[in-house]
Amino acid sequence: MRAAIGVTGGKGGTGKSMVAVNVATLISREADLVLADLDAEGANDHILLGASLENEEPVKIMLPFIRYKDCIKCSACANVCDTGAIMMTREKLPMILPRLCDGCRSCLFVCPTNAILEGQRIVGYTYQTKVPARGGGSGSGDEDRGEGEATFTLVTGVLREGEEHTPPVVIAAKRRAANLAKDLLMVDTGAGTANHVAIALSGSRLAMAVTEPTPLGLHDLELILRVLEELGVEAWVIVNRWGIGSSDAIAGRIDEVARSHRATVKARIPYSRDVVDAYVKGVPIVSAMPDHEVTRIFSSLVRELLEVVRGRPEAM
Amino acid sequence: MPRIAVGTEGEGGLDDVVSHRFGRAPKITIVDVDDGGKVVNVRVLDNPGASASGGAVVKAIQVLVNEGVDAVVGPAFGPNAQAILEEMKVVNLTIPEGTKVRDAVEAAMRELRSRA
Amino acid sequence: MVFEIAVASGKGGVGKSTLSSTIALHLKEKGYDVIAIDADADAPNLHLILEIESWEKTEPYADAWIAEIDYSKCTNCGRCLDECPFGAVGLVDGKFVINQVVCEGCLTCTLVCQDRAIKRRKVERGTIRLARTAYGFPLWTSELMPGRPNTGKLVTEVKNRAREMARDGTISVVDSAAGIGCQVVSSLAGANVAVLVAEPTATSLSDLKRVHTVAKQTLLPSALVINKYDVNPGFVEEVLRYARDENIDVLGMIPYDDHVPRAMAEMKPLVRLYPDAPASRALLEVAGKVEEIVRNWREWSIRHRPSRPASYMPIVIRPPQM
Repeated sequence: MRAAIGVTGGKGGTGKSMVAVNVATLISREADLVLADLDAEGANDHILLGASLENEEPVKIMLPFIRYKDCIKCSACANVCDTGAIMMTREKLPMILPRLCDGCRSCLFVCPTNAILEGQRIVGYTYQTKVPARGGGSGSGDEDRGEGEATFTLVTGVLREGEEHTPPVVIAAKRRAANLAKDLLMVDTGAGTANHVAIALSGSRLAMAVTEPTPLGLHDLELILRVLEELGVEAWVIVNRWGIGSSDAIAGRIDEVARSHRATVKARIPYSRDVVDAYVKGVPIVSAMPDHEVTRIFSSLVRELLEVVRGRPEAM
Repeated sequence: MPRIAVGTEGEGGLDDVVSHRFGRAPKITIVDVDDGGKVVNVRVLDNPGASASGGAVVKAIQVLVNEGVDAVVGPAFGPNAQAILEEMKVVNLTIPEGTKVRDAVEAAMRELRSRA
Repeated sequence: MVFEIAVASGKGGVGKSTLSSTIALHLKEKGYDVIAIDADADAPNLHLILEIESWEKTEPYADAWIAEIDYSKCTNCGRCLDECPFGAVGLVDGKFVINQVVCEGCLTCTLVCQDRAIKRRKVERGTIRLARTAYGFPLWTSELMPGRPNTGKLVTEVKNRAREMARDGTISVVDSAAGIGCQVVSSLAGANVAVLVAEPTATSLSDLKRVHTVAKQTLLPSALVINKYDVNPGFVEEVLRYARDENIDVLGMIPYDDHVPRAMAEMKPLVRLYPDAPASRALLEVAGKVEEIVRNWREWSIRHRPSRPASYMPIVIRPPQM
């Protein structure tokens, strides 16, 4: 893998996934790309691409099992458990509560009689789908695919409902995607700025922080730029839904925030009914409307991206 | 002699009221009742679940187990907590929140006697 | 005893904060004692919508742990890197380094270190703040240091603080984060009703189903508000069908309205700044329905208990020896 490009935002709903699928579609027509949807709590890229989730693989974390015949009822495991996943019964035997276990294995290391065995718990799944770079359809049905049509691989991480700990799924999906990526890897993160987002972005060559021209977007942009700074990832700011509210009034403040975090505002995507329509149809606008203004903006963005990751100017 | 626990909202004790959520009730009131139904002892403990992050009800139930409680009285527990209570052999009796503790204990005793 | 209304959605940006602030304002106006809680600890926004008169309290949130290596004792055995379950230990310039952002503060590396060179210490992970809004009710908010773990714990802490100041009959409105992870689970825990917000899009419906599944796992009765319904009216029926199948109480639908981002730009609540805007009227109608739920909760919650309760079942794989 040559380089990873992040797509993130801080505020939810700014259009991260829309940007990710459009940029990925364009890049994949010129370079080998794997898109990793690391929004494990609400993975949506496959919906925006009209793709299905295929090649399911479980994401497992360690779950302790007690071999009661070796247990000396010392309670060391229950005492060391940080998350309260081990309870002691009336008979002073440890009982595991799987949902609360985060797989840290401290109990394994404190048990004096090695009475704790390593089992596993499935906390989510990763998927792998081939997506035509024209948008629409799943990987397995090749009916509409012309010869030599560009495709890219979409890897998706999905956290099981009821599981609370997102990082293991993000890590597993990122690893699966990185193993497949021969050239470029694009990571679409979840919303917010918590550690599963930082983990997704870590190691990226650069990241696009997608924001919207509102005080809420600005506030969260500042937070995500701080994360990117701390991770040492170059930050490009993409302002989506330009034109809503009082965009001009806030333009100056967006520039300011970007500058103060050594980020650059690279594009403003106008709010457009066409973008919304493409979104609800499940076809990236760059495929549905190749001559649209928004498509031109994405094309120019992608040219710049490729220049940076390839380290040389791209032919127009 | 049955030992009955109630999650309580205020300072605890017989004059307090049943909390709407056992796991996060500030205090756990533990009442020992003789077979004649007379209250013999009342203790109030802090509930570690009240300030816990995940697994609050688990921490609260651990107190019940450690204190040898026979029955816990309160509004309906969630399915996960119910499973744990069953596993830990703590009888779960449903009573509306806001009920006075002494009334809740009385109702619990009647229920336990009818099951015996 | 606090009555808790949790507002969630799964999908980000569908209007949770706008709805939460409207519900809080409406209930306060109707005479209830209200506390607003911003449970989106890694991107809090409610203080930007509800005008803040003053910040009353700012406390550091220091209930998180990280592990630290004492290099004077470390013999570079590397067991910490091998055993760390979260991949928080890296090798940098020949030295083992614990990544502050990834480390979740479990005890594992402290236990496996052969030189006893690793200790845990408490760190400040963010702040918890109490504000007085211009509308006569307080707002509890929290901000996690960007990139750090344990947002769920921080949300729980903020909710506990709010509970401490509550009286009998206080209503707390909890504006949760997007997603379904620990933050959202903490937001939903202990609530009396979940008010879910969705847009009529496939992506929003997908996320709605997931967060509703989490709500069902704790038997939480749910209500639904469809936002920006006129942006994709063809899909509204599909969302309503899900709500019907799942016995979710549909409270209303809000039209797309340019007044919403305009009010956000002014950093004032929509229903105060533009009370006659179409979205305002629809939102206030919804808030009225929420008030009815509060008044008749016992009956309402029985009517709208999940029709298909889905308790969480872990999928476990036994060790080969068992």
